[in-house]
Amino acid sequence: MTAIIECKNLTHSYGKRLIYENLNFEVPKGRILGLLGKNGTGKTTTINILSGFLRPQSGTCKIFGDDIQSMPASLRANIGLLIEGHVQYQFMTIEQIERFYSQCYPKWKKEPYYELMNKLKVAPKQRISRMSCGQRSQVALGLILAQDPELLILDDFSLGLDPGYRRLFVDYLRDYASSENKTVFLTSHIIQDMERLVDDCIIMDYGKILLQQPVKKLLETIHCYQFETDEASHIERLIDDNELYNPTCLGKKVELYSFLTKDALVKKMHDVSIDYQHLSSTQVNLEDAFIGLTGKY
Amino acid sequence: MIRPLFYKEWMKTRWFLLLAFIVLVGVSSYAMMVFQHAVSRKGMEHLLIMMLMRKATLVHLVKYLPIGVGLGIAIVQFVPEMHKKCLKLTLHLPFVISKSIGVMLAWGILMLTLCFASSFLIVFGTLYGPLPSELLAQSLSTLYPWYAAGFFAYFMVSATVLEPTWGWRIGYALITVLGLRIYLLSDQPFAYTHFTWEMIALIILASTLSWQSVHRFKVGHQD
Repeated sequence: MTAIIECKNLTHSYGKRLIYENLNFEVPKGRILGLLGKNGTGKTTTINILSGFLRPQSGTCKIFGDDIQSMPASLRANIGLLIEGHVQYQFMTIEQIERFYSQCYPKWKKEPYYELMNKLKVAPKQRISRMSCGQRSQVALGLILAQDPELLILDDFSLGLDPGYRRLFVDYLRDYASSENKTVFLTSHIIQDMERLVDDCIIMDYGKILLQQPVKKLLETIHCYQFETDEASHIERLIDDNELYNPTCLGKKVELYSFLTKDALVKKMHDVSIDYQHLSSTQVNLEDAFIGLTGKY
Repeated sequence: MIRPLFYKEWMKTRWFLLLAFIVLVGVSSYAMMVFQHAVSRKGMEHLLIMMLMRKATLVHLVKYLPIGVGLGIAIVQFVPEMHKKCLKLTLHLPFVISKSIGVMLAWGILMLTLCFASSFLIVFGTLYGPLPSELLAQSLSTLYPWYAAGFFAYFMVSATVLEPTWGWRIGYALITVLGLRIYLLSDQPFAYTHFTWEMIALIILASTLSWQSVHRFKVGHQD
């Protein structure tokens, strides 16, 4: 499958604080990829690099095969960008901003924009500065849909939105991306939204990518295991095991996440001589998987 | 490319431009009414003597207005771009970034030129005829450093507002204050006759700073 975004050996730091080193990932055409990470792991840094607003200290990032830093201006018409906070020109009205962008983009289609505006029941003369965050998010989404780009880059699209607007945003975007075979790269701090929307996910931890794979595969293979033990202090033996993620104890109860099967976990526990009782595993959702892999804090 | 960007600049600046135009034209007209009133009360001879002996220029009311207009246009044009980093939207448009900045600055230059030309034409139109050419030149020679100061203020304030780092922002603000001091050193007629090229050079230098500020914004410089 053709890669729309290719990032190789990305390294960036702010002063002495290293954000990540030698980061590699690709986004194939037609996929919706969500970047998940705790605060400070470099999600916005990655979006800034991808949208050309930050030059990485080393490494290359290509979109449509062109290096972002030297990409021809006309190629930007094929990239829809949603800035964190659904930022748009506040001094314009609904009608003026559509008129402005329609002169900038050759493939402009005003119908999806006005369809969304009609759904919100906002008047064409309404100024963007006087709109709620939810309404502004729909203006920003409508403008991106009207631009009709091949690639959409969305930075924290759920920021400041109530559940209704988040659902509207997700449903509209998912429908548009799947029907038009668009590629989407996005971040959000609300992982339930991501689960409804994304095909693939990248989970970032401090300085590195923990995994990149289809969400469906991730949720099929990761397990949350719970058991009881009288030797809770012995759990430390499991902490450094790179097949077991974030074992935590609460009294006698232990919880950990792993891609191992139950049998493989039983064998491992036997190998490190931990006695346990009531071993059970539960299915997890994306948020559980994320917390399981990255830890609660 | 020019049409949509000019449309955006017009949306931001139209009300301020109207205000600036009214104030500049109003004050210039008022200065000329004062001149005509003085002529009718004390006679042209008296006025000519005053202009010759005391180097009176009749246009002193206009002195700080071009700076105010330049500063104001820069603020109404570029503060909305920096609000919540809206400039990212402009830089993401499918146009060459340096050209986009050039078009935005060209809008400012065009509007300043229109404002200053209106004010200048009112002064010139009123004084041309009643005054001998030497005394007309005396009044106009006092005006042009102030208009130049307006352009200098526009470029410096634009660069300051667009600048993403506080270090450069403070540096630009200091240069603005010191530069404007040079343009306002003397109100004497012909005081800047031998400094014209230097004034133009300062404006050209100031005009390049906005591109550097935007470049720093683009590559992600921050404090």
